[in-house]
Amino acid sequence: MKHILTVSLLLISLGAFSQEILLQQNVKADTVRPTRGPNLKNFTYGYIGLGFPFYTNEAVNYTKPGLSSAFNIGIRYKRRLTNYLALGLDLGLNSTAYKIKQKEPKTFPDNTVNDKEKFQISTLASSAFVRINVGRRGNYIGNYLDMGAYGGWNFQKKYKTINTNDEEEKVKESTTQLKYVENFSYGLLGRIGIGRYALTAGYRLSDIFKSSYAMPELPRLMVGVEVGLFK
Amino acid sequence: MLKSKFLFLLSGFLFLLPLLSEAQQLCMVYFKDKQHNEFNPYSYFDAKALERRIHNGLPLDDPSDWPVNEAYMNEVSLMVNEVIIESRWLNAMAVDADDLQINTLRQLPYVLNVEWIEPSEMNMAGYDDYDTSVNTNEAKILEGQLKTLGVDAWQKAGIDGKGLRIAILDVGFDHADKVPAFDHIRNENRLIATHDFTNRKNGEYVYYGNGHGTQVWSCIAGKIGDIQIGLATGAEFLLAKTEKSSEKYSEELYWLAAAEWADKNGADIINSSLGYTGKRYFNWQMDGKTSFVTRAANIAARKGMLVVNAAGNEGSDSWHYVGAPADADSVLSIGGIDPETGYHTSFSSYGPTSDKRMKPNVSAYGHVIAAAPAGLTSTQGTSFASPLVAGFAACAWQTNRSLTNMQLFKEIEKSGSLYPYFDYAHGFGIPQAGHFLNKDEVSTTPTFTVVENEDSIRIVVNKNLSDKNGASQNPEFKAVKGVTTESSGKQEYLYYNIMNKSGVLDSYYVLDVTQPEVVSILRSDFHDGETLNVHFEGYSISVKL
Repeated sequence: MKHILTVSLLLISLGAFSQEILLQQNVKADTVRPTRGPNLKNFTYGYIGLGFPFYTNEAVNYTKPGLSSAFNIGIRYKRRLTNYLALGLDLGLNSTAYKIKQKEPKTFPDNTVNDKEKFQISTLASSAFVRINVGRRGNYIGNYLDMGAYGGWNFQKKYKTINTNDEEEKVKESTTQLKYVENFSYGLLGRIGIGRYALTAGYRLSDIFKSSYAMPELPRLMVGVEVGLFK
Repeated sequence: MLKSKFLFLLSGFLFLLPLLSEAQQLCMVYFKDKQHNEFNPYSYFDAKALERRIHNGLPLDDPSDWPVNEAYMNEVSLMVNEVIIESRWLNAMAVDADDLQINTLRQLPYVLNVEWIEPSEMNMAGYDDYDTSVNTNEAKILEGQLKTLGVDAWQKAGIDGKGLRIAILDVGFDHADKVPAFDHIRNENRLIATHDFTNRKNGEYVYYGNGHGTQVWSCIAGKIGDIQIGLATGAEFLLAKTEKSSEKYSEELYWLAAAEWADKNGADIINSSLGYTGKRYFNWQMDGKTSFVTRAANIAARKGMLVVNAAGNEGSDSWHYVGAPADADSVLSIGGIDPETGYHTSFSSYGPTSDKRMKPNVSAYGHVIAAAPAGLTSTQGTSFASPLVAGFAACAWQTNRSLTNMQLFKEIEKSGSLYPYFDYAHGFGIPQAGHFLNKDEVSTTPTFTVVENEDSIRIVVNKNLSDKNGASQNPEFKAVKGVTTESSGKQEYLYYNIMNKSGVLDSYYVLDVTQPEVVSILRSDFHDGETLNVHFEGYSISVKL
């Protein structure tokens, strides 16, 4: 680079050179082996994901399948140990909306039937994971299995209803900082990824509602998809 | 309850885990020996293969040419799911086997080693939709792709690659059995053999799948009426299908098997417009010895064949560098030229190799007109620069059959439009027919002057640049290499590089020359032992700094 800088400086100082540089390659500057990349020592990338509560027992399911969902966005750091093994950390925001079934007889969280009703819990979460890669590859994420654990602070705990009054007006009621919702959550996570795309699963070990309120638990298992934000 | 759900989740992952890996597990089984009692090269090889070996001073009875032991193969084939290929050069078999079978194979007394073959992905140059019409711009490219390689001179000398046998290793030759661009070859029975290495059941049928190989073939030898697409219209051909679009494991194995087949069938030249890069390798593994296909290509060259390979199309990508096997020292790697500008086209992969050897070796048009299954088409990629040079190589070899493959390799480098100047974008530039046909006509008329002062070095061109786009007004300023007379006319570029004392370029530039004083460089910017190399219109000079 210094050589071409010299030319450029002369172009300015003497004003006699106006040659257009069509191609320039600085090989010398390219000799340092990179350490940042999808399959290099360090790799940091963003991700977005969408998950859905998954039920194993419909009888105790109080949320609407398909409509309840969780949106995730975050940043992830991966440290390569070998071509087949890596460790990772991530930090992200998670917003989960549990939309409550309104079918009578309704028992959760109470017996009032609303037009719409949901618990919205937003979490600042961090996780740690072990990544097992399958197949030798170059500087690519490749195919992988992640297993780890997460924990987070439920910074937003909201309960919201929407109803229609006699005037055909929409009435929205919202209650925040719910005392009966736990402040923290934690659980296990897993991902199966192929390149930037991954199937995700999270299993919440913590309860949503404080045990002293004796409320039934919402689905613990969340499955979804995730897209890594990298080239 | 919690535990059971966790187990459910875990079991789900474990169930899905195998999906991450491919169902096939391809392995290379290497044998300790061949245990051959007798090998008759005269019955085993094609006459041309024997001729090439004799010509190159190679032994006819070389153990690496002995077939793999049949008893070993028979026994192994009964123990695995499928045999993919066998390789006499590596004394090995590629097989599809599970872990248990691999363990059993390892116990065999004659098995040296079992290596798992990793997945890879082929990178192939673009195969655009064809257009039956050739517009003005395309006609210009079609003319230029051969004119830059001296088609007029070759034709005048009656050179068309006759007597040379070229093997093309490619993804498929869709409709090449019907495309009229190859009528002259079929009519004269110069298509010697074909083989589909990707599907044993297909045997010799290669005319399906992908038209990439059809286009590549046309860039070597295509001709429709008066329209000539490649230079070696008189050569003989071997077509090998070594790729299939859905197969991610075996390409390099098929490449090896096809190279051995080409060797056996008397090929003089192999053209491979294929490359393997980041899906499998890191670019620092492009050191000419790491990748499987690179090792195979070097063995092919050791057998006396000239291996011509596309440099790759990653010049604009993060990969940036040549792929495998273009990194092999014995492979003539071909970079791409933009017909519009006359210098490196942006997608053409750069050198050097990771061990700092020059690649590509030479260049040709990376944007071409080729014969696709249903007509002429405009397409781009070093995939097509490579066959243009393969055709050139056949013509060059025809002029002097006493050359060995590596002597020809060096002569093609010397024929480059920039030679002795080089850089890692163009190699030695575009090969010139004149080097092989009229060596005596090469002159060394200086086209620029290097003015050395105490503090700086200036490069001043010896040319009236008032008519920048026209012909030179100076009768003494006559191009000494073909590029100025044979290419598109946009050659007023000055190339310079800074070479360190190890002979490796630290940096290089191409400048558009619009004024006589092109470059001024301060001496204080350089280290001891560095060299400034400059090239302008056929004339090169080196200055020790």
